[in-house]
Amino acid sequence: MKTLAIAANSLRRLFRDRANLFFIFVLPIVLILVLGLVFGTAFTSRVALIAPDNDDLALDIADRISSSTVFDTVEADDVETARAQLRRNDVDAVIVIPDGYRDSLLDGEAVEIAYYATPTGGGFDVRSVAEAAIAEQAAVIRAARFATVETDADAATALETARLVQGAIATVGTELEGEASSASGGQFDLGAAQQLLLFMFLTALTSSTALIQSRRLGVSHRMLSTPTSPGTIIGGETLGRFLVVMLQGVFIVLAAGLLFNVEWGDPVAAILVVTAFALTGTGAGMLLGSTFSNEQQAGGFAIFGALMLAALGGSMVPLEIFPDTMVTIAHFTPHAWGNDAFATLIRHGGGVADIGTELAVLTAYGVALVALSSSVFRRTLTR
Amino acid sequence: MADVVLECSGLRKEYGDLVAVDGVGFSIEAGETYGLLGPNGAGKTTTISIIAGLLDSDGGAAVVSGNEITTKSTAAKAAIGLVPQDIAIYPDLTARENLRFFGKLYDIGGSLNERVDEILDVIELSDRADDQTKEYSGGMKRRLNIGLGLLHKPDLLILDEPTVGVDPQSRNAILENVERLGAEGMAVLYTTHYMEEAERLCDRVGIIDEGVIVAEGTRRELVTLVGERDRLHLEVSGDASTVADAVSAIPDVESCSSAGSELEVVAVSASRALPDVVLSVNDAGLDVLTVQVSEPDLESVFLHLTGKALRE
Repeated sequence: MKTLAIAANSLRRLFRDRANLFFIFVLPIVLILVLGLVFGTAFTSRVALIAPDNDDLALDIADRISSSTVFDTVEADDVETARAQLRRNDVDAVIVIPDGYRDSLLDGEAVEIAYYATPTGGGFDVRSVAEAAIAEQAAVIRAARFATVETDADAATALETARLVQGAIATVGTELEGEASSASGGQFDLGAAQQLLLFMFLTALTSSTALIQSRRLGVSHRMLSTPTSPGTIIGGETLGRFLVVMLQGVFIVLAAGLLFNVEWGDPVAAILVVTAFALTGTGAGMLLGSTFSNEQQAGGFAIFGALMLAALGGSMVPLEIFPDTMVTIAHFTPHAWGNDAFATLIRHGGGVADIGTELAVLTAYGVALVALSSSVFRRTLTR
Repeated sequence: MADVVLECSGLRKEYGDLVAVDGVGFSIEAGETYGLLGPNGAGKTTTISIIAGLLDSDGGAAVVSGNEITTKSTAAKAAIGLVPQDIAIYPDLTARENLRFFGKLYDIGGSLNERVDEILDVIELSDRADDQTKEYSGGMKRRLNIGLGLLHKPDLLILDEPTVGVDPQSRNAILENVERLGAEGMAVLYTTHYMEEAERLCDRVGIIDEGVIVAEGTRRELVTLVGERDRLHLEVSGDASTVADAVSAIPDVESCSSAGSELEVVAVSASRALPDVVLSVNDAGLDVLTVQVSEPDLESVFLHLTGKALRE
């Protein structure tokens, strides 16, 4: 009961300050909205497709790709223009079918279809569709080539025959499972996840200043002078901060879902990620609150640290554009594991089993940080 | 003999090579106010921190109401009310919320609201009970600081320099409250470096210096211990030398000297000697025009014992 009383007291003090309400509940939602509008991936990806006009096989594959309902195709005059559109995020991918495509194929030469995409997620599904279309056409081409070699038929006749035969045989199709994997996600989805992690950690670290104030004013010592064990005090202070961060996390998840139709994927898995991440943030915040003795210094460090970890962990720019070394470094931050988990849930429709590693790492981070901060806080209480 | 509420012996606390408290021991009975006097850094706050269960000692023991106190001993802590030197209250909570929160930590239970109202009355904050304490004056905060220590009706109230930075009116109110609590049977451990507070409040005083209690007793015992005496200075309506011998013969008087119409009397107890001195003057056909009584204070005792002033 005393643990709950201490935790409730932390919540009461936090929410008494209207500014805290703004930073915990309003600002994250505003940022999700703004970042989603400015940088968010469109719900339907756009693909610039360049194919030579006088090449039936090139036009055939262009038709196959364009027929996809996963994305929209747009015309582009040339490769440079299309790549410029890609850099401006006007399109999510560019597919270039080279001149002489038909002749090269029928002559048995290798043909390279160029594919350009941003790493923001939208272009990857386009690639899957393009590869499927190419594979489908390649089967016809191989049949025509076989007929040409075996029957001495000319290439055009063999190709026509192969097309006729293709319609008569069964096709093996692929079906994409789950809504999330059939598209790159909503305009706000991944941005919301990134902001969720950024703000949860920021709140966890900045709430450490209240703990420092309690220590500085002597209130923590006064609590110890009551018939309350150090463990109960530490437990109550930790629980209070955990509840604040959890409350914020759950609020952002619900508000982003209701206001921006953000799909968080498997709700149980999403809440587990939020919980494990909140535990990690709580431990880090308690450690900060136990080691610093000045609220201003701690507040500055908290903001700097939270933003640095968020940037490093892919909560400002996606991990996909990081070089390999930076990706490795990023995974020293809990944010990277949280972002990985949400990417799996949101993009690929994963469940708890698919994010087991991420959950285990986040939980390990949380338990280690809470244990360390408890030890340090106990020393500050009783020295 | 009244019940002993606090019994501590051989308390020791070290910080590396520094021995902050070295073998401190004293006891306090119910209804007794015990003053722990010493300059800054003498070891008062460390001693109090051990007795309040905020610090574990490196040696010795403190027993409060029959329970040995450590940082983990909740039973002993339930018998202690601590009023720390710092104003240890939440500035963003109201007085009522502060009291309610600590009341829960003291396990007050169902009567918490009534007890909070009682304390608010005692500390005269009922009309500001629902204002955030950051809007309070220094004196109001001090009163709340004390109220939090009284909330659970402790056997032992520890007040660590409770009047530092307080205006005279609030200071007097605090001292009156402490006197009342002592009269009601509460044991009080009071630290201060204001000598007049110790002289007014404390039944017994322990003088601590460099972590050691160098002397202990009532003010009178301490004064006697260091050989200090009361002094009476009288102005009479004639030649004072005519009564000097008679005054010197009074049992409580150690010596008497005269100069013109003035008498200087050194006595073991000025209050006991004064009536006899006045009678002697009257018997000699003189009138007493003025009387000045100066009793040796704890400041001079402290100076005598430690060689330093209390406020150093």
